[in-house]
Amino acid sequence: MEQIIQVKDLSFEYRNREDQPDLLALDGVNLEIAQGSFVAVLGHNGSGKSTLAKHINAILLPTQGQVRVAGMDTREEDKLFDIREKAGMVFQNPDNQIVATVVEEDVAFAPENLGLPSQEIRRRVDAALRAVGMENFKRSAPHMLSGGQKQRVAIAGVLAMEPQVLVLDEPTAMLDPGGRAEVMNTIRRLNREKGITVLLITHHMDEAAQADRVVVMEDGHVVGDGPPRKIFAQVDKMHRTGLGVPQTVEVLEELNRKGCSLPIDALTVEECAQRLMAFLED
Amino acid sequence: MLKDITLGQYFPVESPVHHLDARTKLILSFAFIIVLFLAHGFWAYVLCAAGVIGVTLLSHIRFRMLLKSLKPIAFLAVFTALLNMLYTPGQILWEFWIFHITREGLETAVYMVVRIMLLVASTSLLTYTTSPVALTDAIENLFRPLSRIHLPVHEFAMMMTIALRFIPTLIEETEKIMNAQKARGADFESGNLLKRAKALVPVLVPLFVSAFRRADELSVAMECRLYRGGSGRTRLKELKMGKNDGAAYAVTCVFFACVFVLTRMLP
Amino acid sequence: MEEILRAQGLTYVYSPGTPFEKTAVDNVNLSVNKGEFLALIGHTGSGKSTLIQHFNALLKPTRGQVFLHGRDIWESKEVTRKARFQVGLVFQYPEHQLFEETIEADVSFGPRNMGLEPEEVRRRVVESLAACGMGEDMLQKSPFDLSGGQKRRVALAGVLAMEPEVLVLDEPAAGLDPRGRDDIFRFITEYHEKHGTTVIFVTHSMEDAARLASRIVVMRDSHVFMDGTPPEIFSRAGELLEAGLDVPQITRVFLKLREMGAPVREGVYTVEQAAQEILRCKKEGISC
Repeated sequence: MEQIIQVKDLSFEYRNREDQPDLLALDGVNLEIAQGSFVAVLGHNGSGKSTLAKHINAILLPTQGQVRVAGMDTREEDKLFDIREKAGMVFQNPDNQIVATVVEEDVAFAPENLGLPSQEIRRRVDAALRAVGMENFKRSAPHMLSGGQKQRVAIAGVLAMEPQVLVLDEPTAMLDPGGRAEVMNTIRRLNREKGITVLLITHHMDEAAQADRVVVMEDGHVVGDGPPRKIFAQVDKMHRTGLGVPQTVEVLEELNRKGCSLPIDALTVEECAQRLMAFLED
Repeated sequence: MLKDITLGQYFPVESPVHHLDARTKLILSFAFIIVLFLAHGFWAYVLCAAGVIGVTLLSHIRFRMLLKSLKPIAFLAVFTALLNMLYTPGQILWEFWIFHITREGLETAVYMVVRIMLLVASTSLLTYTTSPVALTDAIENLFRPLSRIHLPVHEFAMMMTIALRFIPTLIEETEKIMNAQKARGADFESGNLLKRAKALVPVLVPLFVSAFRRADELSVAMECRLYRGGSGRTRLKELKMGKNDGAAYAVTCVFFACVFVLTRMLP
Repeated sequence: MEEILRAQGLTYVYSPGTPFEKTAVDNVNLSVNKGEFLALIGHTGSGKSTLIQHFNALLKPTRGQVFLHGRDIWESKEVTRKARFQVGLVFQYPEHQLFEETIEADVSFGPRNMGLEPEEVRRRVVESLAACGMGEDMLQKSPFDLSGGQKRRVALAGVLAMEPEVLVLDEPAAGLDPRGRDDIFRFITEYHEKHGTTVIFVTHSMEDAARLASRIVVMRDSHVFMDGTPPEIFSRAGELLEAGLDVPQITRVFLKLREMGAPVREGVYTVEQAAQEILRCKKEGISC
């Protein structure tokens, strides 16, 4: 499989900040992301996960090391817009990334900047709005939408560039459970049906559990990397980082602590119920 | 709630007026305002009023909405009318203490009020039938020649779009902050002017902090969506003049001619 | 148990007489006892945020009354003003209300508005900051230099400094990471235990409600939908799910188990309960 994102020995230091000491936010991070995969980067605030995300489309440039997106080095200035077109970025606060007063005008913003003819812009806008299920709201005013709907519009605005990678920096942090579910379903569908590579930055373990692969970050380092089933089975380690594990894992672990021996890698309610049922019937 | 008030009050319905090019509407509205000030005499104003009513009917805007737009200027209209009525010299109709109302005064007053009302009604029609985005585009397009002499026309239009986008957000935010400070005992309603102005500090500081944070995040988001200024940018909806626009110009020219004739013949 | 706060026939209508008219709270009756730790749950738009703004007289009911210690808080201007301080309201993302140059000045805003003596103000500032895990060395720092989680704690201290008898919080952990979330809830529960303050907190998280609250009120479509202790509420997990509300993941596991025919009991909502229940069933032997 082709590695669409390659991060090599990446270090980043925030320097020359007013009244604040220099801060090594990333320290020797290595990461490769395969085309078409769904990767969650899980960590606390200050773990470096957002700093990493900002490197993928050259908002930040490495202090040391290298980041390549579709083979392009992010430090090459003349590749800047190509990189950003390949790797679209969605941010935490939907309000602060919507530019226009009408939904479809906002989604059109990036293709307009690309200088595409208006029929092509129309095609992309309609396709992007359909992909996030917001086609019935194309003439609405963004400020009248719910948080989840706004965030879907923001995702459509990025999809209209037809990127290969979607980087989402805590896209659900400001949403209610309904909005979170809307956004997560949209992301999963885009990954499965459109084959878009997804890099989801989050501190919600239940969101990370939906990915193919979870990268755990702490203090600027990658401290865990693997399929969610393996990552969340390391209960002690996950508790130590303060990120926790799903209750489905926790209950099995609790039983094992009381002398049972159950396999603990249950990520869904169904899996957990089946494990418990098998234990009871045994 | 404040956020329910849509700014610019655009009513997106299907009508021939809505479908006109925004530049056409902008130019014709502007021309109408000039004509309003050149027109004179009873019949000329009747015709102008008939014009506004006609366009309203064509655009499927309810008259109630038009009357609503006149409400805020009612005070101004009455005030101008009173001034004109009381201070225009001429044939005295009615006298009381130091006040006297003249025939000429009454006439000017009525014309003044009609003129102000028609002016506001016509600009309201423009914003009712044209989306803020289209209006901004039209302004950018019409003023484009000015960018040759290095006036930042595109940047200005972009600023206007963003301002329109964020006004409801910031109004909502102001409400939230005011409530939060009220919950800590802030008092915005009592005291003299100075005290009230001071009471606004706990609202304005967080509001500015938030506006700057938003601006910061928005600029990064815009860059990530490949924004690099106005050059090379295309639009989803290119402004296009059609047959209807030609018809609109023609009809309006005839209309203006009629107003002009009436002003001359039946003053 | 002594009643401290009561809403009676409370109704609130936004923008009455306009096309935007909306009844946000509809004939709500709710009595809160002294020292309770109450979670208020519901969808966005279910009326919970509107409801809590009535508790400290930020909103005036369209119909109905709010009583604090048995007195209608709209009885007179003085009573209304007093209610503002007796019921401390912490809004969502309270860090967005910080405005002073120093933490001390910001936290003292509330007490100063109460007209307290400078020494008393100072004492309260220091104590409430301590309750939120901040030492005196922080007093002269600018609140704008802090991290997100710290800012929120300063904002919380700003309300605690008014020493309210009822503390109302609108989603105190919104947007925080797990560590920040644990911190803020730890400070709130510790404060509750130390001062016996009545706490009402709005949350979207059933896990938080299950873990912390002594009583849960669920709102739905402007009405009170359920009201009871956590075991009572979660024994109706099926109804909650039908209403489109969430329940803790472990409760869903147990619903599934019952569906599969396991003789586990209803109303399990913590991991510890779940493990014990499974072991009990195992010991008694399963009979499917």
